[in-house]
Amino acid sequence: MVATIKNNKLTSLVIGFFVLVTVWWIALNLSGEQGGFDNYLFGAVYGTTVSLFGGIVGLVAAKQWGGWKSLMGRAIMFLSFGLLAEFFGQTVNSCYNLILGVEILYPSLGDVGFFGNIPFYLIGIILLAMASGVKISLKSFYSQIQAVIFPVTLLFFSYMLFLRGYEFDWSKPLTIFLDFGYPLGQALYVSVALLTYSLSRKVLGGIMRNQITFLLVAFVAQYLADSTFLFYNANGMYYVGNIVDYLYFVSYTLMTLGLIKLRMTAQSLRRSN
Amino acid sequence: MLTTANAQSLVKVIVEQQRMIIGPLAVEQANKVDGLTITVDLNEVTISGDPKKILMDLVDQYRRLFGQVSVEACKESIKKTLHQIPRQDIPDFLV
Repeated sequence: MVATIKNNKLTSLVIGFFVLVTVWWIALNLSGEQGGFDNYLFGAVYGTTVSLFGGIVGLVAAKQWGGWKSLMGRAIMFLSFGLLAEFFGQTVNSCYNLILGVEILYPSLGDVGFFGNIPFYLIGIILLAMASGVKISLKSFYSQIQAVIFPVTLLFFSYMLFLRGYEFDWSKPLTIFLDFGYPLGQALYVSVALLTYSLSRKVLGGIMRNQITFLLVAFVAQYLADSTFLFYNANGMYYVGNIVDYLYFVSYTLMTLGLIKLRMTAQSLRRSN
Repeated sequence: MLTTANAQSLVKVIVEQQRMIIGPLAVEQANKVDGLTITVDLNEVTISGDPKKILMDLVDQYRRLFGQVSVEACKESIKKTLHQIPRQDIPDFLV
C-alpha cells in the first residue's frame, strides 16, 4: 500500500488531499460552527473535488479496459458515472449554499445527481459481479438462497429503519418517491455488493481479487454515508460539514482510489511479461 | 492428440470470451504467451510449439487476473466448439 502511494502520483495526490481535508474537518467541528460560510465552503470543496476527479480518472480507466465493449470497461464506466452524478448533486447543493445563501432544499435539482447515483452504482456492481464469477457460484442452491436473502434482508431493515410509520403526503409525489427510492435503492446496491463478496470469495483470485474487494468496501462506505444522512436528516440533526459529509468524503475517496488502482493495473498488465 | 488447427480454434474462442470481459487486454495478454501470436481482430492465430502447452500457458496468463474465475470462463467459452473437436483432444484442464 505504501509502495503504491509512493509510486503513483494520482494516489499520492488523493491521499494528500484526504489528509488535508480531514484536518480541516476536525478543525471545523472543533470550532463548533454549524451552518456558516465555513461549513458551506467545506461542503463545496470536499463534495465536488474528489467526485469529479474520481469520475474522470474512472472514465480513462474504463477506456483502458475496453470501454463499452467489455464487462470490466462498462462496470468501471458506470462507477465513474455514479461519482459524476454525486459531483452534480454536490455542485448544485454548493450553489444553493454559497451563491443563493440557502440551506439544502429537498427535493431539489441536486437530487437528480444524488438519486442518479443509485442506478449507476447498481448497474456497476452487477457488472462487477458478473466479472467476478458470481454466475459460477450461483449454480449451487445455497448461493441461490443467498441471492434472495441478502437483498430481502437489507430492504426489510432499510424499510424498518427509515420508512416505518411513514406519513404519506400525496400533494408531494416526488418527495414520496425519493423518500422510498433512496433507502430502498441504496439497500439494493449494497446488498448486491455484499452478495458479490460472499459468492465470489471462493472463486475470485488473481490480481483482481483485492481490487474488486476494495471497490466493494467503497460501496459499503457510500451506503453508510447515505444511511447516516437519511437518519440525521429525518431527525433534524444534519448540517453541512458534520459527520455525514465526512462519511461522503471517505466514500468518494475510496471509490476514486479503487478506480485509480484499476487504471494502474491495466497499465502494469500492458508492461509486464 | 491436439492438432495445431484445433488449438487455434480453441485459442480464438478463449481470447474472444476474455475480450468480452477485459477488453483489449485479452489480446495483449495472449500475445505474451511464448509461441502464440494473435491479431487484434482475432482472425489470425499462429502457434509455434506444443499446442497443448501453449493453451495451458494462455489459460494461466488469464488466471493471473481473476484466478479460478478466469479458468471457468475459458472452460465455458470452449463448450461451443466441443462438437468440432474430438473430446479426447481437449486438454484435461479445459474440461
